[in-house]
Amino acid sequence: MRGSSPVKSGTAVALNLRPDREQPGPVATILAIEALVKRHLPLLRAKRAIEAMLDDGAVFVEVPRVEDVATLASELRAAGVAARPSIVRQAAGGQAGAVDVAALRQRLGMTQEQFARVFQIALPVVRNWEQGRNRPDGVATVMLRMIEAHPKEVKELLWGG
Amino acid sequence: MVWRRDQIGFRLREEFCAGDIVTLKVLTPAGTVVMMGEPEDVGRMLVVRRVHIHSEPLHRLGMANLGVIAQALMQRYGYDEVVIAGARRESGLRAGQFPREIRYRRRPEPAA
Repeated sequence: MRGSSPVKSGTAVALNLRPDREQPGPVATILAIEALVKRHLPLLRAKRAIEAMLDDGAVFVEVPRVEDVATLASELRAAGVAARPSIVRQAAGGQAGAVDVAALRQRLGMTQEQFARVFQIALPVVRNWEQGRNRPDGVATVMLRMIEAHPKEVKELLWGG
Repeated sequence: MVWRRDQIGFRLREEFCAGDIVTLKVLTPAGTVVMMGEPEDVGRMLVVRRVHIHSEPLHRLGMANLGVIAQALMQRYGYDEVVIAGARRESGLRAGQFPREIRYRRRPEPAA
């Protein structure tokens, strides 16, 4: 285990973690835990997050102090973990816990109209979310997180495969 | 190659010990092995749950040498039995799965 000094400054980042399917080897769980602890995630939470990732195939984790997302992603990749910033905003400029619907839609390469049609959400609702006039409620947030994690599967569920 | 107990050393990684979690650096003839788990004393038996093991390369540590580490651990810390309950496989066909409980009882070191 190398370079385990805690990161001194950075911002909170919400990430989705999953085992990196492009790498042939197993997940080096201790290295992944170390990368999260270095960024001030408590040890128990880091350990449980990686265990949950292995159990469930993916996990959402909020890392308190990230100096650079690319550096963290690179360390996690070396441990066999793929990391992607979540649509849940944590950094400055975003209210903690708010879902960034525009970022999710843009990641999927869709217009507002396409996103609304494909995921069967009324277009004005999508516009209101993106423009901050309304926030997704609890159920909608769960659905958006499902779309984020498994867009193809959600589309197939909604449209019958 | 199977190691001998006197070739094994232990160092606590204090920066990765918190609450119920203990992380040990195990010094072996083939290099360092890091073990992270949640131990509990049950009399003279040590039960360690949710164990993660890291060695480089990952496949180098076999079951025989894991047994040697367990014997050295019992000798060093005064236990008669070590139970690894819920260790996660990090390699092999069932990577990511929890295998059955592994139990080691203290026994004399075989003659060289």
